[in-house]
Amino acid sequence: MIAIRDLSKAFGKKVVLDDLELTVPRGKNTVVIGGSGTGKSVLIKCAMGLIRPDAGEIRIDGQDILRMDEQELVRIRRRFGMLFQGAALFDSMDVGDNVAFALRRLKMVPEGHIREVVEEKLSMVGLRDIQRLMPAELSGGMKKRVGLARAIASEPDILLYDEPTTGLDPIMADVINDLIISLRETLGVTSITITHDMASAYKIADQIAMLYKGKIIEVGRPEEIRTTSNPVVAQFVQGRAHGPITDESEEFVRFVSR
Amino acid sequence: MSREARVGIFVLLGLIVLTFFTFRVSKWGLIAEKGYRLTVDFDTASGLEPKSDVKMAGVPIGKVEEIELAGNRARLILRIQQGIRIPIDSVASIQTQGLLGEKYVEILPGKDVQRNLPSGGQIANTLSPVNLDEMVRKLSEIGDDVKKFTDSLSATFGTEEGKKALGDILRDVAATTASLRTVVQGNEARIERILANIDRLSADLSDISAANKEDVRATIENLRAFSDTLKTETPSLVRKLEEMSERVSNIAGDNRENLKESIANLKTASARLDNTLDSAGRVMAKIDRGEGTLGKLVNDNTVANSLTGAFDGISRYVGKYDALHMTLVPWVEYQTGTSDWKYYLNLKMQPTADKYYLVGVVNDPRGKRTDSSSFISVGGNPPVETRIVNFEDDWKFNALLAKRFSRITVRGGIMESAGGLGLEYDVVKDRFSVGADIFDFNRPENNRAHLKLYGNYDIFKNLFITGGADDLLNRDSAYRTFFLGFGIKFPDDDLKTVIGAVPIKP
Amino acid sequence: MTDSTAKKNGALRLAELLGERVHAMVLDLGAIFTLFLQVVSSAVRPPSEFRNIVKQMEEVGIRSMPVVLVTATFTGMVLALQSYSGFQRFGATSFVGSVVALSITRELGPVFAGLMVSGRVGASMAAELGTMKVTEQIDALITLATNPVKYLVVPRVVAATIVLPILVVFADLLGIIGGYFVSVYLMGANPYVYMSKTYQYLEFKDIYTGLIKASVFGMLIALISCHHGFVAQGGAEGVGRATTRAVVASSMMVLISDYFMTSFMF
Ligand SMILES: Nc1ncnc2c1ncn2[C@@H]1O[C@H](COP(=O)(O)OP(=O)(O)O)[C@@H](O)[C@H]1O
Ligand SMILES: [Mg+2]
Repeated sequence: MIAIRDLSKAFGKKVVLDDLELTVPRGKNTVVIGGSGTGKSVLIKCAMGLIRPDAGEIRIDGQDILRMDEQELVRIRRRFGMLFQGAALFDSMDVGDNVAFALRRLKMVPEGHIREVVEEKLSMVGLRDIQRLMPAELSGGMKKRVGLARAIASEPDILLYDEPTTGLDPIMADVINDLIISLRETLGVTSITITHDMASAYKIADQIAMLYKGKIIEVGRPEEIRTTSNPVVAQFVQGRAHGPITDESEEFVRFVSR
Repeated sequence: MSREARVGIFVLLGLIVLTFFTFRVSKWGLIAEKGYRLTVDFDTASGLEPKSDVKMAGVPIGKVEEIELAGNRARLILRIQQGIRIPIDSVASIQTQGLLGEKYVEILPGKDVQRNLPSGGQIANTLSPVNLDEMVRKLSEIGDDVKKFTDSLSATFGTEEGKKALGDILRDVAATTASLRTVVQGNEARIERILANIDRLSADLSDISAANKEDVRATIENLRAFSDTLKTETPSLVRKLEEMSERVSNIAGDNRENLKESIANLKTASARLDNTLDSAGRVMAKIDRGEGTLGKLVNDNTVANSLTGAFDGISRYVGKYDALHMTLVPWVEYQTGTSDWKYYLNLKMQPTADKYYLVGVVNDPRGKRTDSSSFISVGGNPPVETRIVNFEDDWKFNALLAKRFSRITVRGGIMESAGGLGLEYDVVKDRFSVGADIFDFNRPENNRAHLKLYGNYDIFKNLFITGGADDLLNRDSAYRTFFLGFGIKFPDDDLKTVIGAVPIKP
Repeated sequence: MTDSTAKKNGALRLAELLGERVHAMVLDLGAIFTLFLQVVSSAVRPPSEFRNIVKQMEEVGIRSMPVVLVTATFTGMVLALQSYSGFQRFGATSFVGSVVALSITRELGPVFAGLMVSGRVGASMAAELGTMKVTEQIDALITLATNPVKYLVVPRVVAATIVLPILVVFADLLGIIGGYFVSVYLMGANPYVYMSKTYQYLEFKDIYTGLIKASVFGMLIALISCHHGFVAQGGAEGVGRATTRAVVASSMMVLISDYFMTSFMF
């Protein structure tokens, strides 16, 4: 279980997270939705310990990662896997080495079996026979799937997906959705998924949380979110141009209503 | 090739090159440990460094390994290559190579080739770090010049014409001396009478009385008569001298071609000799212009005349005392320090065997010193102030009184235009003498007195060589120098001949 | 506004700007020193970065060979040329060998190798790490339980520290050969005298102090360049800025540290 309390983070004068509260239940998939630039990526990077928040606590099974020393942090990070929004493949290595990175580093798989294991992980994300290719030779969607394969390669029990389906064709997006579901169901993975894709959110989520102005303004099961009475959440999930989110910016309103 | 192999080769090559350097440069190198060690002490090891060369006959045979202080002298530890034998009586000296003075230790091998220095031995004989090589080179150069000079002399007089001319000269000289003898002989009786009179006079003077007055008067009368006789004799003496000088100048005229040839020989002989002749020419030019005593002598008829008169008087004096030997002594000294010549012309007047007077002039190449500074810019750098010390030659004079006690001569008076004292010792009588002059005690800037050490050696009766060190105590090393030179002694007879032979300008 | 107040404001602004620069420099120095401590503490921990070190040795060492060797050769050549014509005025041309050997081993070999490596390797390190930073690859490393300092910085620092002295050994050799070539074939120096003078005054100390310097240069170049890569922000432009800073800072640091090392070692 991941329990985030009073989490605040500002970059200079810009407050991104403001006393944020979120509980991510074990073995469940929590989807975080929210507008672009609201701080979703910052949120999961904080959870991973990549960004140090200004205040708050992030408890993984009761242990606050913000109060851990470097060694404990390294140990707890081994339980995590993360898919980056931009895939973040190591472009000096080929696909095979990217996927095998953690396996080699942590010596989880003997060198002779690495190719096998990597091929298996790649097939899970719908890719085959691309181990020798360099990241620069891949399309954006393929990169994302290689990034996913790399994140799941070491079989972590907590997975953080930053927009896993963005940039994929609908069929591939659904393959990934199924993968996320099956990881949860077969391995009991606890995960946080960030997405704008509501179809995907409804499909994979056990609970959906809406991030708005640095806070989680609503948390609920997919059905609850779909039928929410909160106008902000409603505008977002229904994807309307007019509503409280866009009314905030007069200029934007003027532009949209023209 | 795998990456590991490439990197491995890279590292290995680097280590190989480093090892190579290590052996080439370091003390721990195998090469340096070979050979044996010798020690040698010097007053100063200034300019030497560990790893400086040790050479024998110019060939490197080892290195200076360490330099340390032993007492208050410098002790060098030399590493000599295996198989090089160094005789026990070898001499070590510190030498300089090139202008900037890269120093090295030169070992002059000794004669005792049976006994060689053992490992750890000490070279006992050392020379202070003077520039020995340089000195030897200059010495031999001078020797060459002298040889060339004598060669051309012998070439001049070796010809038939030359021999004939020489014969003529000798014949003339014989005739001259003969006639001189007759002059003196003609007056023999009178001189004897005068001396007798003087004898008597001195005897009588002790007992002066009215009775003797007559005798005194007679004596004075006699003296007057004597001088009258001399007066009548003098013109004929002068005439004879004139005749003689005429002959001598004729001889010189006849031999003009020979002289020209020998001068040509001298010119072609060597550049160095040319320089010598140039400076000789400078002196001659000075003489011509009437500078200096000799110049005045040559150019001024009245001086010449009065000199002739003086010689007359002197010859009378000589007739009386049979003493006062006069010797004109010109000589030159080549200074190694300044690479320049110092000229001397002294007239030595010796009335008795145990004393003499000396007057003369000296041309000192470092006589005048002018200090100036200028700004020089090299290759676009900001100009650097450069101090330029300029030396000019200057004339100085000597006037000394000397007294001899057995082999030691003490002299004093004016030396090079300053007060001074000297001491000379005859090592081989009338052949080889050594001496020291110290003068000019009040030099500016607290400088020490001028000390000159010299040795003179008469090669022939009239030709001598000299050598030594000049201005040894000077604080400024630009003045300290070794010198080597030669000179001629013209005794009074020759002097007359020479003066007579020099054409007197109207 | 009067003229004087304008001037005053200008001066104030200049002072402020200068203050900011100094402040940034102090921060950088602190960060670099911290990075150094992290390198030291993480280098000794498993897993060993041997393969990465070898890879970086190839990158920093073998690939820098051409530029370093060409530089060293021509440095030796121009040194011989200059000192020959200079020493001719004193008649001391036999010292050219000593001058070339001493200058190259003590100073020019290490410094020029350092500057060349600053330019070539410093830039590539900063660019590579900067790109990794802005494309979140460094974050990705962390998520894969890998300490980026250990994985990225340690091999670079170790490799540069080892490899620069080796480069300098080659530079020394080539510099001396370059000087020899010019002196003997162009200026007509006696080859035997030249070589004997080359080694006569050269001591092992001259060489190893040069190598120690080179090691420190290598370490500083790698640390500084990695630091600037690590703090890169904002896409390609940020990477470019980081690269420039890395090259400028490491070149400057080579010269500055050279002074202090020279004054301590000799
Ligand atoms: N390292 C950073 N430095 C400064 N600002 C940042 C940094 N990371 C994120 N931000 C800012 O925080 C805000 C949230 O970013 P992000 O979490 O990436 O948005 P999103 O919700 O689209 O993932 C953005 O406005 C971004 O400009
Ligand atoms: Mg994002």
